[in-house]
Amino acid sequence: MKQWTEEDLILLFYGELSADQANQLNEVLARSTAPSRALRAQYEALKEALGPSLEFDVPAPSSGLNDRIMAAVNVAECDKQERLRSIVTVEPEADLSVFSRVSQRLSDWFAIPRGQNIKSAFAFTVLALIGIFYLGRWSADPVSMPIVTIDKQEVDQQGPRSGQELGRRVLLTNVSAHIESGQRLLTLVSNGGESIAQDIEPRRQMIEDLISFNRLYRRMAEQKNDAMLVSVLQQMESTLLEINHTSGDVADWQSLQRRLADRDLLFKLKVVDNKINRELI
Amino acid sequence: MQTEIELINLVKAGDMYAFQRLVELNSGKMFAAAYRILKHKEQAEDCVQEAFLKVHLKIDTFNQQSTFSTWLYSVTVNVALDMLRRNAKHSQCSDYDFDQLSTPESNGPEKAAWISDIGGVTEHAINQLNDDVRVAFVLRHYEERSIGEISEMLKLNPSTVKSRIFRAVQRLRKTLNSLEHKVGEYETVD
Repeated sequence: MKQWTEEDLILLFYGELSADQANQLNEVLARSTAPSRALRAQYEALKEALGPSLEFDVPAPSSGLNDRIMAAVNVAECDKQERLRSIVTVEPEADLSVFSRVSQRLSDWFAIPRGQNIKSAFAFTVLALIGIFYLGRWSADPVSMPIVTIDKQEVDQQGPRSGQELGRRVLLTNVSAHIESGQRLLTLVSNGGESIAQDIEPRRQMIEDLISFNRLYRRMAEQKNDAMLVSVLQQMESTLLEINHTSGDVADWQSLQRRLADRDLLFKLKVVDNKINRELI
Repeated sequence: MQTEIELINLVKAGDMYAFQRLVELNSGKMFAAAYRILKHKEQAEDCVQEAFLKVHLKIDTFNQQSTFSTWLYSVTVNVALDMLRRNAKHSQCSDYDFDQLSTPESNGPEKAAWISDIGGVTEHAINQLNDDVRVAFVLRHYEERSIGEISEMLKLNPSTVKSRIFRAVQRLRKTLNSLEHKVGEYETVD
């Protein structure tokens, strides 16, 4: 006869015993013999320990979590598309003839998904025009047939470079817009009077969204090793968290305003935003 | 209303709205699992974000042999475990002072605070478990994943998962018995 252990009871509690074993154990628990009563008491104690007393409250996630996830996924998707484009447009051999280059461009045209082939189309058109130009000269003057030389590296890199540039500009525009929203909020807090708590209250949702996106941009800046942006975004994040957690007490707001002035955060944000805008121009 | 499988097929075809729908359907559950493992709201959110990024990147490799939910849990739990390992280098878990639970001598605010602290003790008792043991327990007890699924997620033998769950239950019961003893003391005073 099987000796039932506490481990069997735990497995029974979680429904992890096989149907046969569970039936056997339930039969044993239902008996009125002394060992069965002891086992039943043990099982009751276990159920009590693993019951409602083990509640573990989980706070609600930030309301902007799903937006943040989708923003990160969209940025990753842009990076993926850029990488894909750079792989497709890099030619495999260094000494391709004009004919094979044109063939390669044609096959690339059909290989690239629609919507990503504007750069390739441009490169192909340039190649075709050059080809037509030299074909015209060759047919006009058969004696001096020119050797076609195309700066292959330049043509190849045009697509991916422009694609990466576009992705970077989109990201910088978003970061700049984020910093400007942060600046507006911090200006409101810095200049706020006694009604500051009432002014901030309707903006709680916006503050939470700013915190979420700030964390996203900070992580991206960390990945790009942009130390200056990381540092400013870190300071902005801690300030936003403080604002979000400050209650209606005027003294708390005044203390926050003093800390904000000491950190010179508004000035730092302005400097970083100007730098980003210069890069965009 | 599209089923999960339909949504996954749409995502595989490049439909971002379908992916957004999958995020909306699952992010709450994944956040709860991540929070119970990481014990930190912001880190749990970062974990869920990273997990969904990985899922989006690898959705083509999802072959529907396991359920999407199990796969998603698997990715989330493994990201959370990586974060725990990284955190372990930077921080140390503080020991909870159970003497703080000295029984109040009267009714009123002290009593209310003491009673509310009991819930905190339960949570802390779980947090005091060794990470490996706690993760297995959290997945079985709170996330209601079977031992088979947990062993698949954590890439462990089912007997190892069972043994971790047994250890977790034993440790928790010991802690809760100590709490019961404190409650007894309190009732005597009251």
